[in-house]
Amino acid sequence: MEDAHITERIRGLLAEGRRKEEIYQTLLAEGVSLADIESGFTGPTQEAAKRDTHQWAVRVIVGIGVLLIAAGVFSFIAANWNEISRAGKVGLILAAMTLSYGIGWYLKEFLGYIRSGEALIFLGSIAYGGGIFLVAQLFNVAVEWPDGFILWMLGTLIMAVAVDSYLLYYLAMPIGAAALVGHPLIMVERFWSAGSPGAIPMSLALLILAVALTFTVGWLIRRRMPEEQKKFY
Amino acid sequence: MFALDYIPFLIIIAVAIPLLLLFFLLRLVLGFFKGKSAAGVPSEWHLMVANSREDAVSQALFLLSFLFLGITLLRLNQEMNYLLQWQTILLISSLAALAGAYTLKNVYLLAGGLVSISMWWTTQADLWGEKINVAPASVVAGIGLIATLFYTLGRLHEWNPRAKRFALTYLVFGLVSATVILFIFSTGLGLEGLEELTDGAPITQVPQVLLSLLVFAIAIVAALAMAVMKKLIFPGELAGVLIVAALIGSIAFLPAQTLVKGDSYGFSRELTSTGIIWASIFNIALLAELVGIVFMGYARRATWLINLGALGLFIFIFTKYFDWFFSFLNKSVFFIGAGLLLFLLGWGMERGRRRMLARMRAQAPQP
Repeated sequence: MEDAHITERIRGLLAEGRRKEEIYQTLLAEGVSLADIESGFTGPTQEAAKRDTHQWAVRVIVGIGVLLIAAGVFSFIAANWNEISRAGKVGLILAAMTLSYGIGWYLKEFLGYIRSGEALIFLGSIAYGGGIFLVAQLFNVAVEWPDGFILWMLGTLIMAVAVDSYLLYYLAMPIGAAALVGHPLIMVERFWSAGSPGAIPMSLALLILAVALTFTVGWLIRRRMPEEQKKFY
Repeated sequence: MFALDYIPFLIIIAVAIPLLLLFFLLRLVLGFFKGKSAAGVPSEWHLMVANSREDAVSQALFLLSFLFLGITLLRLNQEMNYLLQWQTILLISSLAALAGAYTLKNVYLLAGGLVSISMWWTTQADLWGEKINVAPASVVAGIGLIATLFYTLGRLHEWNPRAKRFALTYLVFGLVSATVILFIFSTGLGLEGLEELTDGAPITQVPQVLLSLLVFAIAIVAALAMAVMKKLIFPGELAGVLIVAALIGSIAFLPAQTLVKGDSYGFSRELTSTGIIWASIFNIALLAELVGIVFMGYARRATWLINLGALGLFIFIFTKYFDWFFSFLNKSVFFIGAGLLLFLLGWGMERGRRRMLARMRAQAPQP
């Protein structure tokens, strides 16, 4: 087989989603030499590396952009905080959240700008978390902050499933870990200040929801794994 | 009063998460070294924390789920007027995590389960011995035996080529924990601690702890016997595991020791003759273990073991330099010496590692 043919065949097999090992096995069974297969892989591998670099660059640029927007919006709100009414504050957070989610979803689903869209949805999830704590503060809701983190994690996970964004899954994990670490911290803090930590300061319903949702989402993602991968542990 | 009772559990959660993070960091670092050093050698899947992005995310979510389960059980227990002790809840959560790890083939859960089951035994042993103020050395010996058991179970898991990642998890936990225990007792501060640990009632007065140690010892011997039968362990390695288990296990039976002279505690501490004997034993054992890890890595063609052993040797030599020479060398001589030692160590390690890896590559079967 000529080099160009082998390269084309490799491109075709890669497009079918076949793994490198499978392609090697298939071509070796067809009588192609190992050296020819290796040289045939050079082109597609370089193309993939270029594509990956480009995608990574886009992700970094839109990520920095989103962070700058968030910093700007938050600094504007902080500077004018006292002049904004209670309804205005809630409205601002809701607007920031829905706009980020809405525009992100539109970019991702309708215009095909996956990375830019996901970055905006990520921003929406940060606004959602900020909103939880802001509302708790504005209305003096008598719950401990780890509950806020659980709510934030739950919302982020649901959004991650809805828009199928790994960026949001990654965001949900440290938020969940913060809730887990926050709980003992509060208990110890109470113990040192009052001599007794009192009851566990977390809502039972939220905890059960957290167990169920993290397990279900973990299970759903696990189902996407190729069967072959599940056998190796 | 539940409040005071819950404090250790809460601290455990706060400690377990950084420990797990440290574990994954170590795994990543080992994987990184592997990737950097093994040019030309096919990458080994078991050195990676996950097979794919889906695998990593689902494993992390399952781990979060089981951690939340532990807190939920505690909260439920609170609703039920503290029906169970918190240690029992920790045991239930640990067993659930281990069962989940094997059912879901989840390495993160396995790591979490191993950390929490070890913590359960530690806190439970502490509770058993609390009433008669047993010498805490027996609990430390138990932790050491658990570490050795993990290492042996790691070797047994290698029987199944598809369970290499589980095997590695057991091996890393076992090796690192046993090395840390030996390292602590090889220092002056550690020996001062050992003296305090041996102060208390003998282990024979707490049958639960004694029985636990016996069970661990039997499990180690049984697992080693199986590993030998299946040819999963080298003779030298077998001897090393038995010596480390015997050494750490023997701590449990020590009567009250005087290892530091009179009022010479702190920086100016001077060891008694018994202290010097123990210091020599722990230092020789630690050095032999670290050198053994490097050679085992070479014999098994496992670069991660060579890197781990080399890192351990580096830390060992550098800390010994501080431990032994800080007080009686002129400061400028001390720091110049430390710099030279570091340079020579780095050069020697790089040279030795390159040679070993080159030899391994040369002996590896060509594709």
